[in-house]
Amino acid sequence: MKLKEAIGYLIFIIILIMSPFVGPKYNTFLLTKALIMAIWALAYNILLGYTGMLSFGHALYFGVGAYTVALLIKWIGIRSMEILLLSSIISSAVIGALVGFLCIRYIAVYFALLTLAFGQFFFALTYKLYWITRGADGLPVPRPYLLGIKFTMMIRYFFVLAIFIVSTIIIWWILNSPFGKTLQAIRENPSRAEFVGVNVSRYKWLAFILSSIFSGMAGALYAPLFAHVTPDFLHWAFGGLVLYMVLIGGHKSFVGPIIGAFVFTYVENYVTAHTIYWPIILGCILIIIVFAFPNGIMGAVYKVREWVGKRKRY
Amino acid sequence: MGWEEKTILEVSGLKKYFGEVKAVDGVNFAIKKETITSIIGPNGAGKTTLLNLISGMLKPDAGKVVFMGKNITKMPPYKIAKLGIGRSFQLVSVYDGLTVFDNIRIPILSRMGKTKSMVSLLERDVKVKEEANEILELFGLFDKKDVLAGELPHGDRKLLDVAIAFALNPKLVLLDEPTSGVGVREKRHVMDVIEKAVREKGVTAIIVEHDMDIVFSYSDRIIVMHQGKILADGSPGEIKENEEVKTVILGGEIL
Amino acid sequence: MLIYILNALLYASYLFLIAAGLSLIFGVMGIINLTHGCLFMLGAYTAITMFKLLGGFESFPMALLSIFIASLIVGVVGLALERFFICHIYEREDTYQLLLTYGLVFILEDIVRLKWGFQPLYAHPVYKLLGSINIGGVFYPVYNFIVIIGSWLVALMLWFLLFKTKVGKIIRATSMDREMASAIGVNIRNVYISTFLFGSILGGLSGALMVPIAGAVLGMDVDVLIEAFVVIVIGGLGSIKGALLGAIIVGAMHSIGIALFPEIELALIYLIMAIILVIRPQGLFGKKLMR
Repeated sequence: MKLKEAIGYLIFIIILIMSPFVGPKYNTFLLTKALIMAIWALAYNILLGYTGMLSFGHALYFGVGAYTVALLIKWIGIRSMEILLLSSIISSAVIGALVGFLCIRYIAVYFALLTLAFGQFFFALTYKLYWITRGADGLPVPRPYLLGIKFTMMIRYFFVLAIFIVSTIIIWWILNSPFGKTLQAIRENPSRAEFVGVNVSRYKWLAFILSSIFSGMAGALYAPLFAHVTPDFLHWAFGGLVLYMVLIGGHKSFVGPIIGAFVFTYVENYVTAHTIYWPIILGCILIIIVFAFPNGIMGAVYKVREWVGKRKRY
Repeated sequence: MGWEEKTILEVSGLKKYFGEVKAVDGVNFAIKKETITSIIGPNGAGKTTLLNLISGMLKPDAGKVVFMGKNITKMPPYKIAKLGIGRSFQLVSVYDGLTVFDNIRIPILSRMGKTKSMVSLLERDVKVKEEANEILELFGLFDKKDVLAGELPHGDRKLLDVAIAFALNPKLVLLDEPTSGVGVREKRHVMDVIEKAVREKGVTAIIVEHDMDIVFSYSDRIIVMHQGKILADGSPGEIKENEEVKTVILGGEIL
Repeated sequence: MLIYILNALLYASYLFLIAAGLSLIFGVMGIINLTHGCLFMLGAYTAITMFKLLGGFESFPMALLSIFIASLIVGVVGLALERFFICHIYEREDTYQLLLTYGLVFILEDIVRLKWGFQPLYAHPVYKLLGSINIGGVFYPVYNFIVIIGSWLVALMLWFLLFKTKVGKIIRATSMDREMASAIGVNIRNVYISTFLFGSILGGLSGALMVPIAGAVLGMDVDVLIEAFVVIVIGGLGSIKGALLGAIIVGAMHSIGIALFPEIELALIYLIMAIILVIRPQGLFGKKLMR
């Protein structure tokens, strides 16, 4: 990592640390949300950007994480965030392993449809099993405790920030390891990868599980923020949002998802406050991306850098 | 050394039909270690299908493939690769979106068993980098190492494809038209590299080729295929004299 | 018992129409058209507006005319979508195709919301116009029969179009091998346009026919889209025969599901879809693609 980049990240983190002390409380709420979405987006991009797998059912793991928290609080009375988070990791890993195992042998459209099918299956289950999940009403999520102290906005924020930093570092490490490079090889030419000795299915499965784990973590962090979980968290329309974020930021870069998550969260917040036409605007943004900016914001940045003479490869 | 110990690959009774088409129709041969065998024949003779059957891309309808004593007939391609068979493709198959350097690093990582490592950083791995540089030097691609494979000219992509096969340090390498589309000077260069690898590193090579000059210059043995069957099998001298071969392949010309 | 069968046929009917449209588009153009659900929804809402304009609530022939016109309008909308957006992404990767149609869904949904508002709209009067008939002791609405018969008529016409007319032959040839077709002089662009037009009309027709029964409500596009996917996954992407069989199967499952397992009926359908995708990804009659 170059010095300039490292300084950039450091400044970013310092800003994040100082932010909650400046401005109205709502800012902190929004920032917390953006950080959570950034984790989800990074998780999603492990599959999309690095392994080349487009999943249409990623709300599933987010939702599993969120519901794990809500259900544990409601039915077992666990209030400790550490345990809740850990449990979400386990539950989303299990579901991810199961669903992933069945899906990864298929490519492109069929893979997308299959992930969609499973996502909707769990959505329908969550919706219908009223006596467990309270169906469409959802479950409230009272404030959990961190190290024995009840969540306040500040505690929640810094907890999320800490998890964000740790997750980002872990994901970065994984994606820059030989494993990460192998995933890229699978994305570029899966049959060639097989012919150099890579068990492609196994690696795709691992990537899938990793992605579901971090998605679940994001969901688990979202539950206390939103203070409520509903089956919509598992619906494909909700899952589509993470796809948006990754594309807006740029799926071909590491930080793209983070940027996309922030941009999306803030733009959505701003637009919905001023107009009811958010869906149309969102649709237009997507169309613009498809036609003009297929690699999102970071893609545009790289293009500009190329013009200016510095060449960057990822 | 007994006959078994010298044989690295044995193919017996291999058949592959695509509906009515008998792509490979009862093929038998044994390949000796550290030799260069060329497979020639008109288009559609079944040469590429044969390579696909050996490397695990296709499963035969009958027959078996034994590699270094192991029956690899039904093994998936990645296992066969791990056993030590490398392969290059007729239609260039490289990682277009990755740099040449990465293209070579990946088979090296795979060979070293490092592909599953999530805890180390790829850029810190000096050994892998050194080996990759060696291979790139060998194939004359070193100064293009940071270029994306998709942006290389065709000849270089072909070279890269072959280089990837060799990066695995395989014991047997299957090359499908390694010099097609490559410039004349480079053809010799590629074949020299292959020959060097065979003589010095003990690699065995099976090459599907159409360029008769190359075939007769470099092969220890030539197998001629026609309509899924082996038409002739012998040294370059023997094949040159073979009347049938001449009619079918060489068009009656004397080389 | 009879009611269940009739209901199953009813579900199968509208599912077939929309699935056939989706399958046709995929089979010929290779695009998964996520906006198809919106076309269905548009068909429903437009039909209601037409009912009001043409007096469909009072006279049945007018109602039929409204439905017919609504379908055509949706066809035109589909044409516009194709002409302005979709034609640009034929050669792009699947990902971008899915994204484009996904983005269009958002826009179309909002347009519907803008024009017709948040509240669901109903067309009960049309439904009641024909009353019910007594079958073996139970009363069943006549309108439902119209839907069922209408769909089967359309199925027949579709079959005739595809297998007995020149246009149909061209469409099928293109779907089987695009390059070959263009090599023998077929104007691929025109084939695509016609296919999308037919597909859209089918989708709109389905929505328009169903609106007196189900009403028009926001969100019906997503629900029906997923159901249509289940149908074509079962029947096979790209196969009209498959759409028919798939629709019947799903229709039957709906009916049985609601009767026996009302709780998890919805989940069951998705599970079947997943199972089929795992066991036999190309469905019953689909092309072998994908692994």
